[in-house]
Amino acid sequence: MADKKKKPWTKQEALSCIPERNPGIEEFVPDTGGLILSFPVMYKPFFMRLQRFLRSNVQKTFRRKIQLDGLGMDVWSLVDGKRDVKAVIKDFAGLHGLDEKEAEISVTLFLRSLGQKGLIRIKER
Amino acid sequence: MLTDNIPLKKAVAWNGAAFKIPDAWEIDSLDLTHVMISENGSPRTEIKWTESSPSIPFEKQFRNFMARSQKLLKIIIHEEPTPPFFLHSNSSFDFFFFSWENASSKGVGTLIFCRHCRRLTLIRFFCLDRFLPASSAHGVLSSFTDHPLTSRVSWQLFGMAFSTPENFRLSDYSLKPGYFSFQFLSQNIHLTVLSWGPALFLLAEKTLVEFAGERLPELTGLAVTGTCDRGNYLEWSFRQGLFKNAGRLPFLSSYSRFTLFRIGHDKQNNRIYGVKIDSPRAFEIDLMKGSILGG
Repeated sequence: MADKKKKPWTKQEALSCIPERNPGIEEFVPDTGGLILSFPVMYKPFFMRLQRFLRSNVQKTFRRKIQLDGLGMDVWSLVDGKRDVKAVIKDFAGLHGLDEKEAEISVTLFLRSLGQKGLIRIKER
Repeated sequence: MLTDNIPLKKAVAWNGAAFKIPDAWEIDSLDLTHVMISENGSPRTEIKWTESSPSIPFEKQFRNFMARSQKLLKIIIHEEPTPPFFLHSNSSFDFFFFSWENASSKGVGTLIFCRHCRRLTLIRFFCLDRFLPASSAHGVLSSFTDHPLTSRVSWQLFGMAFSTPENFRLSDYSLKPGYFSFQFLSQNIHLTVLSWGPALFLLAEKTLVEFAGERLPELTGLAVTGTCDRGNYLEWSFRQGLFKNAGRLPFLSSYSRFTLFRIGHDKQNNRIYGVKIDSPRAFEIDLMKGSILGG
């Protein structure tokens, strides 16, 4: 059978992708400052089985919360479903007077962690 | 493309090598003797150098470096004549032009031998058939220098710019988003240049003194304030023993080191910069303060 493994994106392709927020996310501002994102997460199969064993009303998801600091909030506000990754980096660098390479590394790492948590999805242009 | 007349405005200076590149180009990766420059993820130029030993004949050194470079970069090099229009302001440079190719790419390049500092530098450009006048490649080569013309070595990358006395050698560095550190060594004097950013975010909820105390817990005593060309700064000067109260024991006093730490907020570049000098002798700290920090 032919290998249908997807070719990894080049840097240029990855930077032209558009990050989009997960619509199921709730945002609220705590008294301590920053921004809290609350998002649904599926229980692991082991905990589902444990729930079934302990009670009848089994919940499939629970809400996990993460708190963003000022820089995270700025990137989050730039993720609007219209800007591509390169534009997010450029705007973030401009906002904080950072070198674009430095902004690129920090923003892409941050977007990757948001993606792994399911807070954003990456749309190919 | 490399053939159009793009002004080279961005200066890069790293470990002795200094050159100019177009604004759209950026440092992709670097180590102590290597810099890779790219544009939107596509490689544009690669610079690699080595010090040539005076005890080994130049021809042998040259052949070894060429062979090693071909093996390391997985390229085949063909000798090319020097372009007729090419001139360099540094008369101590000898240029050996070449074209290169591998399975996926090809380009041109040059090997530079500096008779002044005996450094051998290989510069190769990607996706280029030949050197053209007024091209970016020509501009990069024309602006290239491999040793400082004054007694200070310039460092310019990722928005940072500073200079160090030429007797200091880079011993370690760290380039992480938000935190850059460069450590230099000359005999037993340590010089560390630090930079944190963005400053407005880092200093939003704390003062510069609190920030300095967090980053360097060993800071003791009161800071003096002053002004330099980057703005106001705070400066600590203290003595550090092998362990707490070691200075009270006379036989351990020779192991103590004198430290000077200066930290400031560079408002123009939105960064916090720090310079730390430590030496076993107090007078060296004063000398360094005068020569590096300007008083």
